[in-house]
Amino acid sequence: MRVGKCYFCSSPIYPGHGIAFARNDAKLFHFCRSKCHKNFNLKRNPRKVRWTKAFRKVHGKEMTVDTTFEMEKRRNRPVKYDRDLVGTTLRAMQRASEVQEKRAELHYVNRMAAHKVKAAVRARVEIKESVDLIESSEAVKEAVMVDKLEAQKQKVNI
Amino acid sequence: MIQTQTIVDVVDNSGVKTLRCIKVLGGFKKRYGVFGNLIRASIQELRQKGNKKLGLKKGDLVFAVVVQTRSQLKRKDGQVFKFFKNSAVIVDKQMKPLATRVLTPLCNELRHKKSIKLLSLAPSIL
Repeated sequence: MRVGKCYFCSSPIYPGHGIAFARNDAKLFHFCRSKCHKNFNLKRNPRKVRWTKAFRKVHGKEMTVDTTFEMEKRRNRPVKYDRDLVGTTLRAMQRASEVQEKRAELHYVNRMAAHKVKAAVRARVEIKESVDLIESSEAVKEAVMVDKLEAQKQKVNI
Repeated sequence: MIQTQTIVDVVDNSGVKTLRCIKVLGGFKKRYGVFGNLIRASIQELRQKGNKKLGLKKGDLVFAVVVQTRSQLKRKDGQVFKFFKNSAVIVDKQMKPLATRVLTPLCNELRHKKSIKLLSLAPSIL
């Protein structure tokens, strides 16, 4: 069983799913679902479509350079079966995926840190621009308070 | 799905550009031709530099093997794929190609005894 990769959105394709298109130079383009196939037929570039993995990688939204990706690379060299080797490989795969997950998390945190600074700047600008709104509301509040006080005084006098 | 009146491109160096299918062969009341099916067709259009050796003319009747279809091909392992045009290769009744070259990749479905010669001519096999 081989799990393929969608040409458009890079999601895994399990057996029996999706469709492939054979170009005249014998290149096969595999698609995970009709959505991706249709987008391909519209001649859209996956790097420019926001929901694809390719877009996210190009625009720095996901980790791209990492040693853990070496594990996923396809090797066309046949390996002689060795029971111990299989065991160590399986363990290494698990470990590599753990490391990758952690690094991806860190990447996300770092990305969001820059985002936070930007958001703070934006908020400050907004406050500066619309400070009169806050001031006017304060004035209204004060007027209401004065009214209330006077009402209380009148009650006491009566 | 190739049926009567379907126009198919020719992907070999026989000097023919397009064919019009007039009958799908193989089977009683067979409607549609798929990969590897033999069809009877008439020559519609020739290429500018025709193959003089074969001497095919417009209106001639020929046999052809369907090698690419727009409709999808399903394999037993669940693989589904399709091509972007309908095309065929001109052969004789014994499925031997008349021309000497095949220009497009062919699919594995042609791998049976009669049409193995075609596969050997193809640039690559899917």
